[in-house]
Amino acid sequence: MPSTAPAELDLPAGDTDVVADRPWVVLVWNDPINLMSYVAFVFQKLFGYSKEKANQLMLDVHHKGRAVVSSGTREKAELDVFRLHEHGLWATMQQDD
Amino acid sequence: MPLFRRIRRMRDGGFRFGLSDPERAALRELLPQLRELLTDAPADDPRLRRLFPTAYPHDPEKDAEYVRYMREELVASRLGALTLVEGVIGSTELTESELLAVMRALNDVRLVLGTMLDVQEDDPVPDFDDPESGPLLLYHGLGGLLEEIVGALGT
Repeated sequence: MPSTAPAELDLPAGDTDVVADRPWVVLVWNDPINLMSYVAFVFQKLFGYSKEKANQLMLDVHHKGRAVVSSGTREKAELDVFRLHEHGLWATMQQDD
Repeated sequence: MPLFRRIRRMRDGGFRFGLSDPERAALRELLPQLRELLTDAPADDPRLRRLFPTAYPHDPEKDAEYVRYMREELVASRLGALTLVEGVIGSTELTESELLAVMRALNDVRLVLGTMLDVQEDDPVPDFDDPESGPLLLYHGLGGLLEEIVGALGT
């Protein structure tokens, strides 16, 4: 950490820009209907994740109730949510905090 | 692994689609019901709840926007898969994209059925001799078939 404050901090607070820049995260929630194998397969297919990563995310959803499966701009997150909804997964999105 | 699998990847990259006649007949009956639900039921029909989840649970305004732009797309995408599947339901061999459409359509049917039956994670295995458990057996049968399809696609 620099000991002197960076110049930007002296500018008027630009809170809205900071909010707009925070990445969006896509969450998938546990549900009692979708098969575990199906959920892992959809993660592999939609996001190109390895079998291991897709399986770990699926287990996180199953055991912790939800998992972050992707993140990025609002547009990207919305497209990912749409593709997950196309496959019947319970996906939501929110801005990271 | 069972000796005889209904769904299997073949050497040429296609898939064997070895359903029995009664299984094909059951799908021919179920798929138009899903189509009817998608085209005729009101958007807030509880049976459709799992097919159209809330994208922005903490932001009703953004969610309304998502519904406005995406709902129709989602319906069209599901109907497209259904049309594809209805065209190949009698085939014994499928391409990968056809099998992916079958996978999505079966999962949609299963989501609707599971919602109507209010399936829970720790539900006991249904009694195969009880005629009352018919719809639940169908639900589990679809799950078994889906499991085979995912297994074949993943190989």
